[in-house]
Amino acid sequence: MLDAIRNYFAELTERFGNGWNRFWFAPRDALTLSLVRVLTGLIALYSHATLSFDLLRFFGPHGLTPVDAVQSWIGNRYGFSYLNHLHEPSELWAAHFVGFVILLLFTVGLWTRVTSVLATLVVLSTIHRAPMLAGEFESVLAMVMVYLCIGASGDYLSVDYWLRRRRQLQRPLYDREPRIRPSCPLTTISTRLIQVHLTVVYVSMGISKLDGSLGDVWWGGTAIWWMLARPERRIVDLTGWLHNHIYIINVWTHATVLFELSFPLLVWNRLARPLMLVVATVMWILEIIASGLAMFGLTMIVANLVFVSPETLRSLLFARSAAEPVQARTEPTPQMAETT
Amino acid sequence: MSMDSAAKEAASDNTAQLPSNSFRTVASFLLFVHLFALGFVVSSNWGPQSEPSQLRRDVRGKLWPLTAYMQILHMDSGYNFYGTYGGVLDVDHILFAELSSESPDVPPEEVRLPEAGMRPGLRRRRYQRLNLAVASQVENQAVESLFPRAAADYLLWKTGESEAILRYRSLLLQPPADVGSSDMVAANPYDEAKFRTVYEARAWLDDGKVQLLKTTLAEPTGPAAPPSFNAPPSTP
Repeated sequence: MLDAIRNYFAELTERFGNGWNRFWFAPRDALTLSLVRVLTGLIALYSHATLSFDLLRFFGPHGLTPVDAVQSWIGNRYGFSYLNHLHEPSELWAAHFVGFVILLLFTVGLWTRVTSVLATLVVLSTIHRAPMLAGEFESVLAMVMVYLCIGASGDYLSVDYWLRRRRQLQRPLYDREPRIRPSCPLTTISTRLIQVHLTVVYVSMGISKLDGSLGDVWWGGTAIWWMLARPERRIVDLTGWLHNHIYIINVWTHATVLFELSFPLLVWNRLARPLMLVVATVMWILEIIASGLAMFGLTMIVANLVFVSPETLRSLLFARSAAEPVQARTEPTPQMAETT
Repeated sequence: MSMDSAAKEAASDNTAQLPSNSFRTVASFLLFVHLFALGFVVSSNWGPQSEPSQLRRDVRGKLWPLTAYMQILHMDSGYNFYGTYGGVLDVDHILFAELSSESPDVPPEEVRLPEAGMRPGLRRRRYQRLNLAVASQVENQAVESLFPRAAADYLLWKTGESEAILRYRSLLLQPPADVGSSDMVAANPYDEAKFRTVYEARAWLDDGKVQLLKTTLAEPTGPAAPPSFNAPPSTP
């Protein structure tokens, strides 16, 4: 009897350990993460560019969010921002320009290991300078940027990749490394962290909508109307048409909650994943229309891409080159060296 | 080959590709700490728009290194992005300012933030969030006037005027019956009847410094309850 119990726990811990190792550390190709880097970089660049219109209005000498007022407002909240130490317009513009260049380098993938960290610093500094200006969009953007620092997100779709290939081609044929497909456990950790964190975001979003103590608009099926009816935010005014089709509002509202609650469960299922990702894209486009939060919706769509496997992405992006044989390890084995 | 040996072989193949034991040990520890911190801040930030309980404040105080770590990464959030509860703060807030000079002949200048039709939307949203921050802290005397004072400072400096009246106003939403109404007042989403002043203050320059006095409104202050979904068309 004791042996049976001991064996059970031995098997349990062994299987859990193997599963943990596979989930977090099995080397993974960085193509998906690289695509997420490019798209997230574009979103961060756009956000940074839109701040150019109001940089001095918010952060300037007579700005709407003076540092001391912000500090009194947020109280004992931790967060570093280099913008807290810049007050003169020339200093602010210089820092803003440098931030723009860093985000651009991150997006195109030049010195990605360094620029990913610096780009995250730029994004976090802008948020921490005046956290009351930040909302859903900035929370998800910061999350993805932080995790992109861990993985090798510059392995593909980057200037780094292009330079590496060019250096290879300049070497004599006998000295070239075999064509390699980089894979790295840090890429897996980065991808998994985004996936897990995104799941937490979905669960929180779904459950918070069901909090009846704060209002019954989600239970009552009318929430989408109240989102569409905000004239200052909406992208398209659908109220003129939908006020006569309330059942569409009801279906839309309930479908949103159902989707947000089912996504974190079903996206981990290999069979349901493609369907969930397509549904997620449609739902986020509808959410953008309803809430007017275009950048939040786009960032969620980009973040969802981490659930697409590199193999699937390769077959979609490079249908022809995917057919070519490639090695899955960065280190050339002796056999590879002999072949070359 | 038995099933067990096949499984063991497959497992050893997988293990061969994994990083070293020491790497995995350190990384697993860091992952555990990070995920614990994430779970902690998400659960401790639960409950949108509500004041944190004493227990929650105590626990957050005791585990401040975790909170600080997540705050630095801007992850100290409940991620409760509910969109709307149809509540008093789930509407748009706009700052209207009347700026006047000492000369009585010059008519007051009117400013609106965000400006009407401001594009792109991300710009407009930053102003809306700032206005929401003011609206959400009305009656909290320690902080309610921080950003109105900064807004007055900016507007008076920008325009060169000497006095300003600031009004933070919430724009109530239209129920379906209003949108379909033949009455122009009910059908107009920007009709004056749909605005509620949530904060009003008078600001003036004194020795180059902005002085601000919050106005006590004759009407009930604070956000008004939103209209019911099935409400009949509102009448002027």
